[in-house]
Amino acid sequence: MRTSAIHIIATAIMLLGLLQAAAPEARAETDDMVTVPAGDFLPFYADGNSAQSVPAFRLDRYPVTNAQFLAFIQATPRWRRDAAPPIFVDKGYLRQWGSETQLGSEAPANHPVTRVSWFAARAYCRAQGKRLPTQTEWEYAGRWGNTSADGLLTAEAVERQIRNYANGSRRVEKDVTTIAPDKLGLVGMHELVWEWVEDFEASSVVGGDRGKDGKTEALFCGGAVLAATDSRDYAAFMRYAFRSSLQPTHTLPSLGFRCAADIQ
Amino acid sequence: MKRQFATGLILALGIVGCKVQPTTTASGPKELVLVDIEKLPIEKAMLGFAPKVAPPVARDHQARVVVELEATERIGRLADGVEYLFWTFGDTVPGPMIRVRQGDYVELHMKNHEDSKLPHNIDLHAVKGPGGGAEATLVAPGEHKSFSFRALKPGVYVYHCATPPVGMHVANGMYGLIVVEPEEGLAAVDREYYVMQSEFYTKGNFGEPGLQEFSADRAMAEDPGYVVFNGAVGALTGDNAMKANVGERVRLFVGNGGPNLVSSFHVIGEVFETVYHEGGLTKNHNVQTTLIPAGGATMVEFSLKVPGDYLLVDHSLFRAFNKGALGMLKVEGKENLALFRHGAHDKRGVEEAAVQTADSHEGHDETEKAPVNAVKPDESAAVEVDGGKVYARTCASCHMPDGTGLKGTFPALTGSKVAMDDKQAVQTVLRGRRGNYGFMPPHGHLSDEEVAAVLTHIRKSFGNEGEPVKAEDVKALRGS
Amino acid sequence: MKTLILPAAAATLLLFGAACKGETPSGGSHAAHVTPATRTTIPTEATRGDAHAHHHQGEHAALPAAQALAGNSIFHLTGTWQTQGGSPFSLSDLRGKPAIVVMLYTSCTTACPLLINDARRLEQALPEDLRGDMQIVLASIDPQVDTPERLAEFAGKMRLDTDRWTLLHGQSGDVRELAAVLGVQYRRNADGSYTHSNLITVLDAEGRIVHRVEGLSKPMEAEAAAIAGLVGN
Repeated sequence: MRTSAIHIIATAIMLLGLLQAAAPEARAETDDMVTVPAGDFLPFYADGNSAQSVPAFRLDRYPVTNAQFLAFIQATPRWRRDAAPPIFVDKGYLRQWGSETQLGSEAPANHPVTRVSWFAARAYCRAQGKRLPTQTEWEYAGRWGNTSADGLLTAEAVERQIRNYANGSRRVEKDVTTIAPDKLGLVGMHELVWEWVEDFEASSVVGGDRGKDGKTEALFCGGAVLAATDSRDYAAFMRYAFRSSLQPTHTLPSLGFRCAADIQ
Repeated sequence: MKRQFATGLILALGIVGCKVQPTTTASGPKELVLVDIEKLPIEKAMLGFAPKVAPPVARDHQARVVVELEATERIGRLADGVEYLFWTFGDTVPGPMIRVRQGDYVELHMKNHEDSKLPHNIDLHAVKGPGGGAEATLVAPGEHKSFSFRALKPGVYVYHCATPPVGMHVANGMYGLIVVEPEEGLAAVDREYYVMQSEFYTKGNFGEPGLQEFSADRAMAEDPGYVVFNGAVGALTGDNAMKANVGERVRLFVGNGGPNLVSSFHVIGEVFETVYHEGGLTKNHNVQTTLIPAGGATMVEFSLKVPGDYLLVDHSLFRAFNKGALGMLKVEGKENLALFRHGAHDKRGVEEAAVQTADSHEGHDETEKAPVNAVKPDESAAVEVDGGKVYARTCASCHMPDGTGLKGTFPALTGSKVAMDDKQAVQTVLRGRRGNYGFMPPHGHLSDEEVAAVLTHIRKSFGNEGEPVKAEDVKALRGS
Repeated sequence: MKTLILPAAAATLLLFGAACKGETPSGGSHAAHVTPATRTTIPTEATRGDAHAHHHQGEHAALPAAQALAGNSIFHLTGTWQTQGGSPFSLSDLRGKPAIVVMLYTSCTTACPLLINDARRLEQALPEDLRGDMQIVLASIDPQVDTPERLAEFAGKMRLDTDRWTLLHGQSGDVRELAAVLGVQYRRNADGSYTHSNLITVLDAEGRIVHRVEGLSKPMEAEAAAIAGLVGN
């Protein structure tokens, strides 16, 4: 059942290799963004068992930093924490900042900005002429270079990601320039903060060991029992579960974002 | 630490506890009449932190019970010298015991600590409703959610986090028990304790020091580094042992968080007079070992006749003696040689024997007062290996932290001839030993320095006075 | 605001997707958890059709201080939509009168007709004076298929009185933001159908969510009475 999908992916990976080689000029045009080449992607929770094709797109090299978000706030005062309406941000919005317009010691300039809602993240990206990546785009880019021949994440990569996610209360926000880039040139996809995606609520797959007895699967149209395509990928379970716990107004201390853009 | 809640318990149960036992006749249990939610008195649940239980329900009517739980992620002790990043309910493993009465309307408020990295939720097996509350309580870090349910069926139930990856949330410590008492209440007993078995899938093997990471590979292979009671090696032994007296009736609420293993729960030296099979209302009598499924629970009751130390084990024995699944119930009181004695019946010996036992108890207490770390360090031993720590994580679970062992099960190290004999001591540690007491497994994985340090420690502790053991002697004997 | 969004979103999760199966879950008890917004006196003049300068999405309306929007008003969303007649439409055009808002898509064959019927039944159950004021908005979650022309066709087929009912086509980002503030969850399936919450939202004249009806084919009398108490005169 899955073999066909795996074939597609394996082929896609070969093609991607070629595309990647052809990408440098696109990458050179903006150093702050990375071109993610087109390819096929088997979603973690798939409707059926088919891979999805992802057109090429650009993605911010780094998560958006405090300094960048401050510049946005200065240009767009209605997103200051004393001005943004509660229908868009909850009361934790930018709470770690020193003041309305100053970062302060809790929010170093080069650390990823956190405590921003989905609405605020979208507004930031729009102001840059960008948008939030879709969940599929983020996941596709985030596993780049970490897949084995069957298109699934390598055990080593899963383990590394789990270690980064499951680190408890130890703060992970670091200077974004201190993290080594991945094979695509992206920095901190798994090492820094959780990141908003445009369609985060599409992850609303609530598990539980009673999911199969009828009610939980009815959460999804057509009664499709959404099974994970790679039950060993505990890191993906964690990301999808995290997203499904979110409300668009949430401003969490470990949640930031980066922007994406279409290739015209 | 282990307070006497027996008094309160008897008071509380004095009224309702001694009534008729819950009846499950052929016509089925008697019908539960639910009182309108609006008319229920509201009360905040009193939680029980293991091995303490939540206080018995003292009401004879239904109530709206507000339960507050908070999910946390924090580093704690898994064994001496071994730390683990636990995910918890209420900052403890197991999570606090919740105790309500059949028919109660339970309002469960679930917080997730702001410092959490992950979302969490709760699925209570006592709930009749989709997901057991899981969907309704999926809560992001720093947020709060709630759900309500009617506790319709009496029994002892597991609750656990059901956020994907569910197995990992459970493996990291997110489980506890909720007790739903029948309308008639539970029969009165003198003492109750709360015990929960579970396993931990550490990257390193049992005893490997330092902060241990969760290993998804080992979890999938169902190969835990630790199998423990109440969240850590030694959580129920030594100073943490449960206590009771001869003549008392004890009830244990025992859950199994899993996430993988089924527990063969046994108390060495006891017969469970009553087992509430799988935590339900079906009673079985005179049981030696009862199975507790992963994600299941039981309630066992027994009356104490003979003083001494009673070990709680998972009778899948290598889990008990090599992975930590040991607990202890210390029973004090007068010997009853008519019921149990060493040696054959001897009319004249009855009184003397009683005195002897009392004496040995005195001595036992004194050695217990000398903490392991108060032992003077041995100057000649290599400084880098602390024999006391090796002892604590390798030897103490059987020979006990004070070296007194367990009569009839594990030999005492105080005055041990084997420990004082250079060759036998080293060989016993390296290769194990088959003796009158049974079998001690080999510990050849310890380094020469560790073997030397732990033997030196034994020879300088527990009232012993012996020469230090040198690492080169261990090396020589290892090669021989 | 949080009190409004959170419980409802949790509740809609339970109902998520039953739409396409044509099931009729009863989620009504959840509505009781919705905290009504405080009622305030509002300008009686409807602002529909006036010459607001509608910037593109992201430019949130800067209204004079005298008429400052409540913090929890959905009128903070300023995307420009198109009606079934092809005219531009901003959500703040609803300001001044209460509104019933439903998100659906026209190719939906099972739940959506029921949802429209529910909105109609709800409207009919309202006291007469309130019914006269009530605006009804159907916003499509399928902007690719549901063009203004298609929406007009659909309105005809469903015999909707377009003096009272407004069908909206929007940019996908605006659709997503509206769904986010209402607590509507939707997801496009591989076959082009959608999984979505069955949710009817009632706004007061200031764009604050004052009531939700969750689930399909529920009795509307009690709902209508509750709404009358919240937004009626």
